[in-house]
Amino acid sequence: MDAMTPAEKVFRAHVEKGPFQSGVDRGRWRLVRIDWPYSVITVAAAARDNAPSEYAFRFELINYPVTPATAQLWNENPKGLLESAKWPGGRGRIPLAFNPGWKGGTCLYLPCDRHAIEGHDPWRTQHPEMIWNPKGDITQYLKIIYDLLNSEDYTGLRGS
Amino acid sequence: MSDQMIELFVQGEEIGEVALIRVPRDATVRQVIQKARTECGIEAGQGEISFLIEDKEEEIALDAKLSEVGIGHRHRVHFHRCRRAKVSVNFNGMTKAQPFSPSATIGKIKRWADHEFGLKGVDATEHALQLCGTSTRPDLDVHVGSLVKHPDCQICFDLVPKKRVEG
Repeated sequence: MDAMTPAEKVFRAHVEKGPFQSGVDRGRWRLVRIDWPYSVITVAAAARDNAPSEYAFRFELINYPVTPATAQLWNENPKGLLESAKWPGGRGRIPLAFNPGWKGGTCLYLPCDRHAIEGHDPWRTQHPEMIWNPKGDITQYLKIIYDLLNSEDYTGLRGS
Repeated sequence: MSDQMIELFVQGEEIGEVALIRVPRDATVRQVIQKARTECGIEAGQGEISFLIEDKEEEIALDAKLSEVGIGHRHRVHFHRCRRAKVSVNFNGMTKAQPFSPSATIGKIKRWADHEFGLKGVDATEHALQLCGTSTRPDLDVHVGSLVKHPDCQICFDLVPKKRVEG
């Protein structure tokens, strides 16, 4: 019996398609694992002193892609939320988007995030380019993270 | 995937998102175009088509075999009826314009615009190209030809700041 949900089938198809694979080929992100309804994907970061070359994010993808994804900074070994000192740091957009103090660090403070958009309706007009599109795929979220981690605003580890 | 098959990232007129297609290693350019047209459901007229490698200017003959022109696994190519795309960028009340190859990436055009408007370092990374009259900001990987249609062959961007997410 095929136990895979339609959402998982769509997600697995999306990660094989051009937009996701183009990012993989560019070294922008890579799929670590799918453990439905979760998937861990790493996103590359610009080189900074004493900082990792990539960060892992655990996406929760229930009813994907109709319902927006939500993502957490993640530690694969041992599995759990990434400790706040190891979160990305910066001066402007970065500390707002990657804020371990907001909702206990359980999601990113971005308009594309399912939990973050709750109660933030003004974002739909303030940041329309970052609103989750149910006709799109996971790369719409990954591109926003990649842009942040490869901006001049990114300074390395938050705790350094 | 067999050794005789390769994957190509293909963009072009009416291809909404980068397509990953599989073709024989010794396929001709014409066969690649036909495969992409079929897989992407492209209805644009046949006309004269130029086939280009990403960010390159030189057109590749349609009867050339991929292996003869150095196109290999996971290379990035583009086909379009426009030979050039006239790009204009608005910033701070000024407009700069330049023709680009349809296979030019938004990343390449962004670097050109940054140079033209004197944006460097953090000023450059904190701005993005946005399609005029929309909130759409094409990814740096997107070929400008994917955004223009024949016979218009032109496109307009605003160079806009990336706003902080607050509130």
